[in-house]
Amino acid sequence: MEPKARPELTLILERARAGDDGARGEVISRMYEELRQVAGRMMQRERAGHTLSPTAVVHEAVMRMLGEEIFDRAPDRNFLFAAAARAMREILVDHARRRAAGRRGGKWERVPLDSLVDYFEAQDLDVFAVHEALNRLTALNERQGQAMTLRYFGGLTVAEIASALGISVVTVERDCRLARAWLHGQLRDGRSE
Amino acid sequence: MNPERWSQIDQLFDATLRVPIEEREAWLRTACGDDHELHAEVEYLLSQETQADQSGFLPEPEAVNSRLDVTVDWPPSDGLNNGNGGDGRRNESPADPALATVSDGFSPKAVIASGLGGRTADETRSVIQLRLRELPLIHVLIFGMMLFLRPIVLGVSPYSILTPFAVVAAILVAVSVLLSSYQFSLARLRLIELGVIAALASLLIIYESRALVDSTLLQEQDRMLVQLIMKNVVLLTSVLMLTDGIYVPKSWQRAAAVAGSLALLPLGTLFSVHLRHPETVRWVGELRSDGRMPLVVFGLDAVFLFTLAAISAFAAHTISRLRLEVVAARQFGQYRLGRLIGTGGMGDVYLAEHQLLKRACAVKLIRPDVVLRAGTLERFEREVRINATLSHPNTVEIFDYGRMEDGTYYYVMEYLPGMSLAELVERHGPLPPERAVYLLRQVALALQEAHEAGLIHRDIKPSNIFAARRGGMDDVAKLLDFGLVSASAVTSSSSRSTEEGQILGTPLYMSPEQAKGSRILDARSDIYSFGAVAYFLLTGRPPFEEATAIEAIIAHVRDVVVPPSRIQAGVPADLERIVLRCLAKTPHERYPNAESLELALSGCACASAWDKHRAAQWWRDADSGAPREESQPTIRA
Repeated sequence: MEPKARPELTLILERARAGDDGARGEVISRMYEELRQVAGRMMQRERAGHTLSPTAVVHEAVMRMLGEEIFDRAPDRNFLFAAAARAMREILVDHARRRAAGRRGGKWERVPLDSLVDYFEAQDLDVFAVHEALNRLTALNERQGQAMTLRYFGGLTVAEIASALGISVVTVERDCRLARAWLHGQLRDGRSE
Repeated sequence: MNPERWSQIDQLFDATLRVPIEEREAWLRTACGDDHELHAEVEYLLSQETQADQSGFLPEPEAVNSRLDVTVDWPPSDGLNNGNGGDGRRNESPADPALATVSDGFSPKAVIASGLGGRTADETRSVIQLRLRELPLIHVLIFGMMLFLRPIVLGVSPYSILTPFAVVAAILVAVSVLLSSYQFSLARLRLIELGVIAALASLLIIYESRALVDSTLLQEQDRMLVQLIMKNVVLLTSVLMLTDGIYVPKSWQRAAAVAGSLALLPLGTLFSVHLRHPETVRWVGELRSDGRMPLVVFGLDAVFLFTLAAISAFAAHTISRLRLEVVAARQFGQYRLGRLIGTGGMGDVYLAEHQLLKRACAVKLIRPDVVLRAGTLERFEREVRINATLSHPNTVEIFDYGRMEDGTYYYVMEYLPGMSLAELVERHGPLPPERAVYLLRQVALALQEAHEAGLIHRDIKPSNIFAARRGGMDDVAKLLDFGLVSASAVTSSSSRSTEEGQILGTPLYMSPEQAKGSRILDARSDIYSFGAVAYFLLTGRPPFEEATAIEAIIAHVRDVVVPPSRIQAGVPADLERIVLRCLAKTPHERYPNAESLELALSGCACASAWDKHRAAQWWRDADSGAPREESQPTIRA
């Protein structure tokens, strides 16, 4: 049987969308679990040196959580995608930390998630600093934070972000443009407020 | 900063960017009025944007090209994202129709993203790695003897013992690196090879020059000993030369370069010692008591070494040619492989010939590394067995299946000249309705047999159906690739062949129930995909042409199909009704089985307008490259 949306999940999502912080936390933590499982399973399957596509992980996690409902409940879907991106970011930051520790300890096995961390390191950016900056951005404008997170931590294309968040492509592009300029100020220019 | 302020900045930032660049500053000042802080913020962000552009800050993450006509395990894993990855088009050249014939059809399993690349190149690489593991061990054995004999022959001097030990240790490190499962690139392996040779050669140089420098102090009798050492060096050099040339696959040019420089080694060392300490080696040019000059002996050695170098290069050449022939002439059971005609996720497809029957067929080789992955072999065997139970002339026929000693699995199927429906439409545009009906009816018959046997195809798409030219007939439809088929009887939770919670299929041709991840699919799911293929044949595009896989999947579940006649004029109303009924969202609104679908198709007004004669005519025209003119038959001998 395909995974059905657990009835209580629908309730929790409703409360979360209404702004209940407790319910939001619950959704995030469930998504976190789901992503870990999905990523773990995919990594086993893709053992032979393929890069793990974060898009695939995010998509599969959302589909597994919502099941059939994904087609009917657009607001839930958008909310879950945002949650997935958020949880994915946590996972990556966590991974980047462990990677730094592992390197010092000399024990380090490369895993597919590394390609994402590499992206930031190639730019000489600290994943954790990016993470914190995105938190600040989310506080200013939640949608912009979500779009950037999906873009750079979820690996989604602009078109995919638009359909995941239920907004237009133009809006995504606009958000990303502003957010990038702002992030440059935060991370390169050393300005943070 | 608070969200309200930020939204103000956001709007101004966006509005400013719409103003032509030279007017921006003035415009922004007017827009901000007295709010200098706002002005400063927006201006700051604008300057940051320019800097970000200049420094390439946060560039686009790697472009992800979704190819929706590729079969995936949903969600799309790498195969889908990797545009040129698993769809087997890499080896296709439009100029070669036979090549194009099989390339797409046999290889839709992008699921297992293929590390493409020349088969022989890859093989050579792994052979080199294997051989390089063994070669240094052989050298260590040979040189090791020298290591232990030397102190006995020449007496011990401490540091001269340490050097060879260091070299041996370095070589052993190289061996252990090569023993790891890490796959080195060809260039790396070549470097390691040169490193090992260079280490051993320098060891020889050290021996020789030390012996020569010492020789001034020695009596004539001891000079004989030095000459013996020189002989030893020559001997070891020749071993090095031959083992390297013969053992490690390489081109003759490469072998000649390596062996040639090795041949220079004994005389070159002598020469360089002569340059630095002329007095130490003067005896080499003097006559010995037996009337011979040592230099002449060395010269003979050099000739000997150069001859060996030539032999080594020749051997390398012969061996590399033989290796190529072996790959080319590899026998798979009774089948002799011909040229490569397609590359896919699981392996390559070769044109092949049965040794005795001389019948052309296609052999699909499953790469050993693919088989090693758990579950793949199971899937492969299932694909073969299921195919073998079907005998309808419109289903591709499987002849044979087996495994070679080296672990390569293969199966043999009929060779299909012609092209897949995907290629047909891509090259020649949408099909005339009568031809589409002609082909679709055959597919429906093939499906009918499969469905009656309890098999659901689950991956019907244009690249899985061939318009073949078989048995003197043209436009013979052939349904391929039952790789995703699961017997409807086993679709229960007991089947572990498809992973739980995964959607299998091709996003663009997937039925709504497939899209929802339902694991209980029946024949009507195939009917839907069949309808999507019909839609594609008539209009040249799939029913839902969405940008991303998830959108395509959602569209199959939710969106209403645009009738084909609105996209392509001339699609008859009766045919359109059939296609749309196949594409109904709920299974019970579709045709209940392939048989009733075929019956409906045969009832179309245009059903009899295309026949084998017109098909033959079309293919003749396509062959001759002439533009297709229905009314004007071309005359060919």
